[in-house]
Amino acid sequence: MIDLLGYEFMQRALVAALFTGLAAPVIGTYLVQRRLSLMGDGIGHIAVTGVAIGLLTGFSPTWTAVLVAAAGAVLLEVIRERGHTSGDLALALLFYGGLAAGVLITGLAGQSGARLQQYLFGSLTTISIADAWFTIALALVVVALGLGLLPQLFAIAQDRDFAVVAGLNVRAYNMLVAVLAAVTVTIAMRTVGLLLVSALMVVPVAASQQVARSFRTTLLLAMAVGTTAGVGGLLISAELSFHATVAPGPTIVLLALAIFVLAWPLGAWLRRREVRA
Amino acid sequence: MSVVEVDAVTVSLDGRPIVWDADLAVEPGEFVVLMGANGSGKSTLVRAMTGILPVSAGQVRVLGTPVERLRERHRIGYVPQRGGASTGVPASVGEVVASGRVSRRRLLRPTGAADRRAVAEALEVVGLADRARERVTSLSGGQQQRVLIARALAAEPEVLFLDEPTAGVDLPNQQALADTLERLSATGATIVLVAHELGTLAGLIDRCVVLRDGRIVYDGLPLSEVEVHGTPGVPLQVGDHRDHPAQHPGPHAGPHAGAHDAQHHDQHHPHDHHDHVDRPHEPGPHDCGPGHSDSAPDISGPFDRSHHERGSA
Repeated sequence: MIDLLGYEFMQRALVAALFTGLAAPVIGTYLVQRRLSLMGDGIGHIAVTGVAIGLLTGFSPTWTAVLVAAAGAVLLEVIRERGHTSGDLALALLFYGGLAAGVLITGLAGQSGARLQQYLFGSLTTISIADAWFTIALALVVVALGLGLLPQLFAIAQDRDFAVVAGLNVRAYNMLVAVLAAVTVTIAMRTVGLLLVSALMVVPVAASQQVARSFRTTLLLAMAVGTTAGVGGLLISAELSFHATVAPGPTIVLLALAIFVLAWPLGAWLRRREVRA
Repeated sequence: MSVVEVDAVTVSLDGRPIVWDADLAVEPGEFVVLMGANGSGKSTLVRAMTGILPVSAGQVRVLGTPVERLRERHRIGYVPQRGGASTGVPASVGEVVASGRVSRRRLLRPTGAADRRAVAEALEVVGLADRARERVTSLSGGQQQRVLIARALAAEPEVLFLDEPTAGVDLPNQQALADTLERLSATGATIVLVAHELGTLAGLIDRCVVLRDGRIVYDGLPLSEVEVHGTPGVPLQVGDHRDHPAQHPGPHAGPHAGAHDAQHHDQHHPHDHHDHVDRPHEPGPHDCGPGHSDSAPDISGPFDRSHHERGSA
C-alpha cells in the first residue's frame, strides 16, 4: 500500500478523489433538498456530448464537458422553471439526447468506445497533472460558493415563495446551483465516471441525513462521507487490484453506499430515542 | 400614508383572472383580515400584495414603493399557507427561523450577533425556544406553522402577511398563534391575514375584507360572529350554510375576552382606532358578514360593492 502511494499517478488520483469527495456532496445536498436527486445524473448524460465534442475537435474533453454540461444544466433549469407537467418528459429527452449524441460524435471522431469509457466510468489512475489542478480549483470554487451562499440557497430551496418575498433573486440562484452542479459533474467525471457521478453527489447526503437533525450538519457530514468514500474507495481498489481487476470509480460508490447502509439503522435508533426523550 | 395600497389590481393565473380590479388600502397598525370561500381569490390577492405573483393590471404599493421595486425586503414578512414545507434534507427549527434573516443579511457574511438575537427572540415569541435544535418535521402541524411565523418575525418586519395561518391547526396552537399576533399588533405592526374562519383571532381584527369570485364585496368593520355561532378549531364544511341567528351590530360585541385568558400582561387592546371613515369605499360600520366566510354570498345590499362600486376605480 505504502509502495503504491509512491507512484505519482497514485498521488494524483488520491488528490482528485479527495477533492471530488469533498465537493460533490455540497451541491448534492442542495439537489436532494430540492428533490432533484437525479439531476446530477441528467447533467452527466449531457456531459457525454461535451466529452465527445472535445474528442472530435481536439480541445480538452474536460473543458468541453464543463461548457456543454453547464449549458445543459441551464436549459434544464429553464425547462423546470417553465413547465411543471412537461418538465419531467423534457428532462428525459435531454438526457437521452445527450448520451446518444455523445456516443455518435465519439464514433465520428474516430475514437473507440474504450476512450469514451474512461469518462463514462472514470479513470482515476490516468489523471494528468493538469487534470488534478483543474479538479482542485473547481472543487474549491464549488465548496466556497456552496458553503458561502448557504443562507440564501437554503432559504430558496426551503420555501421559494418566502425567498421571493425576502427579495432573493431566486432565478439567479437556481441558475447558479445548476451551473455548479454541472461543474461538479465534470469534476467527478474522471473519478467515478459520468454514469456514477450522481451517486457521489447524492449517496453521501442520503447517509448523513440519517443521523443529522439540521441542514448544516447534513451538509458537513455528507462532505466527510464523500471524502471518506473517495479516498477509501481508491485505496481499497488499489489494494485489491493486486488480486483482480477492481476499478476505483465503482469501489468509491459502493463504499459510499455501504456507509449509507450502516447509517440507516443508526439513524432509526437515534430518531426513536429522540421521540422517547 | 397607507402601508399597503392595492390600486385597481387584477391578478391572473395562466391567463385566467383570479382577482378582479381590487382596491384596498391598509393603514399603519391595522389588523385586516381577508375572508372568502375557497377560490374567492383571497390567497391570490395576498400573494400579489407580497410580490410573489405579478399583477396583470393595476399596482400594489407597499410602504410607499411598488412592491416589485421594494428594496428593504426585511420590512415585510410573509407566512405561507402550507405548513411545514418539508424538503429532502432535514432542517432544524432554528435553521428555518434563521432563514428569515436572509433579507437582512449581506452576501457571504457570517451570522452576526444581531441575527442570533433576532432568531432567539422570534422563537421566544412563538414559544418554541426550547425546540430550536429539533428537526422541523418532528413538530406537529400547528407547531410548524408557528415556526413559519417565527421565520417571518426574525426579520423584524413592519408589515406581516399571513396566508391562512390557522388552517389545520389545533386549538392550543391557534391560541398560541392568536397570542403571538396580539403581541405583535400591540407593538404597532401592520397585519394582513387571510382566513377561512377567524376562530381565536376574531377579537384581534380591526377590519374585514370579504372576497367573492375574485371581487372585493365587503370592506368594513368586523363582527365577531364566530364567537356567536362557531366553535373555534372545528373547521366548518365548505358550503356549509348555517343560520346565523344573532347579528351583533357593534365591532367588538362578541365575548372575545374569554378567548384570550392565557397569561397576558399587556392586555389592552390597541386597536381602538376605527377611523376608516375617510376611505372612499368605506361602507360604514357594518358587520363583517358572518364570521364564517363561506357564508359571504349572503352579503347583499349596502355591503355588496359589486353593484355600485364597479368602475369607480
